[in-house]
Amino acid sequence: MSARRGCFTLRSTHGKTVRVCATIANGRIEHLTITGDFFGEPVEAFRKLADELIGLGADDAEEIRKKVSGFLRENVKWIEGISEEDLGKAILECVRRLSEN
Amino acid sequence: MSGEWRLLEVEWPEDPYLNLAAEEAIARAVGEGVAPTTLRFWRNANAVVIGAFQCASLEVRSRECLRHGVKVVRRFTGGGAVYHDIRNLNFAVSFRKPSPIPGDSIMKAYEAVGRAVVSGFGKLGVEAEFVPINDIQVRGRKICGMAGTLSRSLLFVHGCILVGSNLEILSRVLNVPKEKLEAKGVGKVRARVTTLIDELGREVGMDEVKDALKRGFEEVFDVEIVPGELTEWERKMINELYEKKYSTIEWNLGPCVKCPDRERDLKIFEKFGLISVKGEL
Repeated sequence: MSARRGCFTLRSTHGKTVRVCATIANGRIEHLTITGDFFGEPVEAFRKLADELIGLGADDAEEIRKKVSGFLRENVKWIEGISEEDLGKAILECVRRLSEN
Repeated sequence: MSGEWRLLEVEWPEDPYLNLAAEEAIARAVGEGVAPTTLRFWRNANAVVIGAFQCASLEVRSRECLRHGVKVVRRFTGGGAVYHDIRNLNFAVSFRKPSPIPGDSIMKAYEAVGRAVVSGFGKLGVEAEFVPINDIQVRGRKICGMAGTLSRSLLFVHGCILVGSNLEILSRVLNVPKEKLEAKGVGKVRARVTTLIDELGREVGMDEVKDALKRGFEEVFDVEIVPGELTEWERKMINELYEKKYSTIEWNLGPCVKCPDRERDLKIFEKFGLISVKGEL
């Protein structure tokens, strides 16, 4: 099965945008990037979160959701302009769309 | 009067990487308590400055940047990509915590700094308003965007004012997501921005704008702002940040360093000479 790559952009009701780009290969997340015009600290945390998701099953929404909320709780000091839910939603939606036939 | 702030007018318009290194170094100095609360004014000659959570390849139109000689640099605060030219004016305010901002809140900091900028615009004869989260608008059009950060000992806000910027180049080099434009109710970047000169209907000098802003800050924060110099500590930190961070392609590309498109991005930026290629790739 060939790899599929794409991005999903979510405009948050908190005023900012999060854009998630991912590559799905053999039903798993091969690569993922979280970008956007939101605010938060530390800057490196969002890249580390993306790395943490690599290898997870693209259809395992529960596991992805759990990983995202656990990581944010432990590693992100603050986030403004988007909510934690927005971030999780953007990741799941990006992965879901790429998993569809 | 509740104190004195330092005013810094240090800039390297042709070297946006150095300008951003200075921006972070000054903020760090204030946060560390080795420099007083500081207001800085500075300019870039021709650059796109992307947010800390953005990727150069997603936010800028590389070919347009090449055509117009626009360099791309990533800052240490979040927020969106902005175009800077010599007719933009940037300001930065660094507070050591506890700051005069209630609760040291970043959102309240945008509001308070926004009030100071709006007050400064008022002195020039432009009626503006702060629009949450981080914009200042005139008649519904953006004239200034702000960004900021918060750490253990620092509260920092900076912003970019469109004084007489080339809005045509701005709209060509920025690749704004359609979701953002739709949320703002406009189809094109050009339609949602304005400049001080457009609003005033006359030329306005940078010194006049800086003076008005300084008075706006003095009024809103009830302080006296006096000209100062970079400290030796700050000069060293600027050089260190420039060498290790702001002149590296790894930093300036953004979090997309592991993206499948990274090789393509590297080639584009190397070819166009937009980003210094130094450090670990």
